[in-house]
Amino acid sequence: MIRVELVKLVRRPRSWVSIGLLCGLPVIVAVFVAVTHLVPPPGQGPTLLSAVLSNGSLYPAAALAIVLPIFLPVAVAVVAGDAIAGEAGSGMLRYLLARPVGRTRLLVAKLIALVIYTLTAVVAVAVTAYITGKLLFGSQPVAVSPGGGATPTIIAAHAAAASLSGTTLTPADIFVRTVGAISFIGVSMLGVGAIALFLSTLTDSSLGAALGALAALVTSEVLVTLNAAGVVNPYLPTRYWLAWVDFFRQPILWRNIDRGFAVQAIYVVILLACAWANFATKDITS
Amino acid sequence: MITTRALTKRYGRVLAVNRVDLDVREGDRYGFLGPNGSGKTTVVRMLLGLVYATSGEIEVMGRPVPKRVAEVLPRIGALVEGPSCYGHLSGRANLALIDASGRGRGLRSRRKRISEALERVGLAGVDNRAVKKYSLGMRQRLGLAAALLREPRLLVLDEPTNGLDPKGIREIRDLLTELNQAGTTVFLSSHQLSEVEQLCTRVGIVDRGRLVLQDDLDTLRAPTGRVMVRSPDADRAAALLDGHLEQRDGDRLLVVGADPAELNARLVAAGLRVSEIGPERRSLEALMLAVTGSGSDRIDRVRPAPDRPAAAIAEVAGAGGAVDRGTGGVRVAERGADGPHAVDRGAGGAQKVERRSGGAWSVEREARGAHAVERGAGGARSAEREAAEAQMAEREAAEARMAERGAGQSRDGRRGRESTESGQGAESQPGGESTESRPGGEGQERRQGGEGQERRKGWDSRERRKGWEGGMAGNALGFGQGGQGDSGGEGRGSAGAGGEDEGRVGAGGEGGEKP
Repeated sequence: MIRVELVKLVRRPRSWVSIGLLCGLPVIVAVFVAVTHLVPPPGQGPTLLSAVLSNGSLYPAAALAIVLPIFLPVAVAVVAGDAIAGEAGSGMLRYLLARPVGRTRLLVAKLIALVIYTLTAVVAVAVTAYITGKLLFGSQPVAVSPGGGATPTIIAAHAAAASLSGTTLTPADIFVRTVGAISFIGVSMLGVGAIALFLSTLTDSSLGAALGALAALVTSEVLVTLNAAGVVNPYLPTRYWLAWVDFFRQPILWRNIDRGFAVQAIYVVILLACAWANFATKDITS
Repeated sequence: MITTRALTKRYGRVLAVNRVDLDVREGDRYGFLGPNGSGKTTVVRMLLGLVYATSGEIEVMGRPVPKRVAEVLPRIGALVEGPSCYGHLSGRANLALIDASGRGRGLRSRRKRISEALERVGLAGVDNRAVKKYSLGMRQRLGLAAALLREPRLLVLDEPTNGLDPKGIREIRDLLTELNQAGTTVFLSSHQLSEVEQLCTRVGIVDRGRLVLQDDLDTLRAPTGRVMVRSPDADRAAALLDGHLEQRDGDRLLVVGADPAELNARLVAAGLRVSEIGPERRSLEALMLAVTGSGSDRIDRVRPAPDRPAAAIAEVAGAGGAVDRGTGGVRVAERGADGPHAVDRGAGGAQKVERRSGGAWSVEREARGAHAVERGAGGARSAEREAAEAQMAEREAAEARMAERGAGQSRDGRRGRESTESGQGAESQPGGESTESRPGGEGQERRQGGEGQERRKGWDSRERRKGWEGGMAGNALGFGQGGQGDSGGEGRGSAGAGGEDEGRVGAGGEGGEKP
């Protein structure tokens, strides 16, 4: 069943279009930056972008920062929202279950396909960005800021401005840290996917499930910036989304990364349990 | 093969399937008939473990469903509510994906099985175009191919000939017959009578979630015991046959208690011309019209209350006439006309039935005897006729019991209203009148035992369901009883519901349904 799900994913034009778009956006940004050498001043625009002018091998990180806020969650939510609701909407769900495919098995297969899609998307973005960065910006040893930068934008400023005074990262170092960042982002996206997957078991409309998940994210984003909502702040799904930037500090600042992993893990576990409980007992009337 | 016991499914307030006892035997070609929205698909889904029953038991191939449904599903081929495919893939790719989804025989035999299945349904030469470019008929065939992929022992098909042209329907019918002869049990859910009539050996009819009839098709379509004669000299024939003549419709006569051959000889001997003669048989259509109401896809306009009595009379008369044409039963028309008055009288009508109940009971007992004689004598016509009569008596007895219950319990609002309503319904429903058009019903109910009991439940749920569906309400007809029974009314009770069905049973307030 897992294999079948992967085949479906691979044979679906949408999967490739969405990954293509995800990879395309950072390339477009890179081309503009390389041509004009204008980067957003520190504190504005995508994280880390100002640092890449001096070193292309940081561009994968910058590219992830570009797609992370909207593009990537949208793609993941669409795929996850389509998981069960899409089958229901096309009427295939009843035939799959009558084939028979166990409900739990189907859900697990969908989840695995989703994880693979998410990782593929993130890695694809990182790889194309790396190539783009190498081609357009060249590579020099990178200097990163000393640890403890308060916000990602400050560290970006450090990285750009303090390239002579900061610690130098070897390419191997950058690679390891990028892998760390990719896995962190992957887990964050799994959180998004879990929301969409749960909603997908509730409705027969894949669009509804995807939009519902995005609505949840927007709500979370709004509350994160709202001081009045400080009580719930540490528990919001998007609260630690940007913590992966801490992988590029020296030494790595684990506090927020750990919390980010923990929060996402809790969301994923709870939502998947809900999805399973709902799907396993649901009347399939589609 | 398939056995259900008191299978019930409730969606919120709607009772979609109500205590259905299916019995599909191995090797049957079982036709599962019912109007739109009568619960056919819900039953099919429950059989496949897609929808969970609210209560009751299902057993498919000896395994309880849904508990051990995974063990039997590999041997079941299903087509539920039309075919579904991944539109962007070809037909073959779709079948391959479906086949690969479940466990079981693997890749090696897959290509061969797909080709065989496609060939069976007439898509052997299909190319690689995406399914979304298929016509409806092609998709239907593809759906059937998917059902046949694993050589199922049981085929559960919901409207398999949808979208096919007459030739395609014929092909599918032949295919199903062939599969059935090779040992596959076919369970065919349909609202197309001709499809079932031509294919099936056994029939179950659902109406508003209840299985109202289940029997062999041959039994159901057995001769009614009457002889139909068509003669240009109908007047003289009628005079000659006085006493035996049951109904006359132009040059068409229905004669009771005669053998067609003898009758023919007699008529000819008297110098009368006979253009057509033969034993009258029930058609499945007449049967269906008799035992079911209109489907849930018919929603009539709500009419203002004052118009009700006249409208209802017209409707019931009309309905009676319609059934009359179908069955050729004079009784239908008579009683149909009688209906509205009974409804008008309301509780009075019910009491009348009650008074008759003693007699009806004894007739019922006789009926059983008569039936036995009929079986023993190998279908002596007069006995058969009596059986039909007796069945009606049985029915009346059931009505009477309902009415009794109604009278007895009218203080208890809800139940009282229901049962009086049931009593009326029985009086005025064409379904009720055409009892005599269901000779096979007798045998079936004999098996179930306690006919009166069964019927009563049937009426109850039927009326109740109607109340829900139509937003049906206390109208001019039902006000008397509705008012009595209506303890927790919601105010919807004053809106009359249109439509012949609602007209016929239109009694009582919606509010009365609610606790």
